[in-house]
Amino acid sequence: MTTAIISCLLIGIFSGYFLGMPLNGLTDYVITLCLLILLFSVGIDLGSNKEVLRDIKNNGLKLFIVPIGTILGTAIGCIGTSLILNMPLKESLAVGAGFGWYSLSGVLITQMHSVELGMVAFLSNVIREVIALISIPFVSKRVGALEAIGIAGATAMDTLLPVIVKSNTPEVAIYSFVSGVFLTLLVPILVPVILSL
Amino acid sequence: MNILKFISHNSMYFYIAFILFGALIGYYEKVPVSIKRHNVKLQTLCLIVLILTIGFEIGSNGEVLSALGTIGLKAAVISILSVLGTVFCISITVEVFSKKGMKNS
Repeated sequence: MTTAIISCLLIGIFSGYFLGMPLNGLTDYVITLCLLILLFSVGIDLGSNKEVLRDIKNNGLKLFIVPIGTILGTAIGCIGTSLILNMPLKESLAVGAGFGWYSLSGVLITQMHSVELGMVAFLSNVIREVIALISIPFVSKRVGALEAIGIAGATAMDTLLPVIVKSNTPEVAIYSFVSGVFLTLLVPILVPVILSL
Repeated sequence: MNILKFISHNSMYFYIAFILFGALIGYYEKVPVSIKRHNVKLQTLCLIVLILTIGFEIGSNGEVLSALGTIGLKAAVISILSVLGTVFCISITVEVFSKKGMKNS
């Protein structure tokens, strides 16, 4: 899927580069419409997963250690970035709030802020997923399972779930899934809210 | 087109409302069969159109292409520091929780 997305992005970039901007204005409507359908559809997936609510009832609030830690830790990282690179805090926080869901955060930020920051979001969240893919086995062994799940962010519920389960005991799957669902639901809420601050 | 324009300008409220509405009808099993059956295809299709469109905007925007170096640097620093911050915060919480657990037991 990642390869397909990156090839689509490259095809888009090439056609945009060579065709110029005859679609001016239309792209905004296309993006809004597709995003609405996509978010509605993702919402259906999240809502249909009733096991999540059951897991939360059975395991209690400790399931939220990972997503809350991920949100706080990502925010700290973004504050650090804005200090080091002299970047507006709002911008770095919005990028970080993609939690690895690069396709959505890149698109949202492009439309609501700027093409440039959208590109930062896309790349940054792809990099987060790559770091997760490489570091999860190591972090699981040397640091801990919950820390490894946090690195995966929103993708802990789908793309990186198999990697997390393979590097740990099967029991952590619940933590991973619940954290991924919670963060996935938060991305389309947090990113626009941060950008509108 | 006027409705679309209105939605585009107030998009954040609509995005939040749509994902929550989807989650609600998913939870209460009120999803129309036609949507439920094609939900995965629908997501893939939207994603492809979105990524192509975003690519088009990037490609036709000269400023972005010339600023790729800065963009890459920002992206890398944000993701690396976020990952470090995340590991740090979760480690601390786990430690605090396990200490509490020991006291209770």
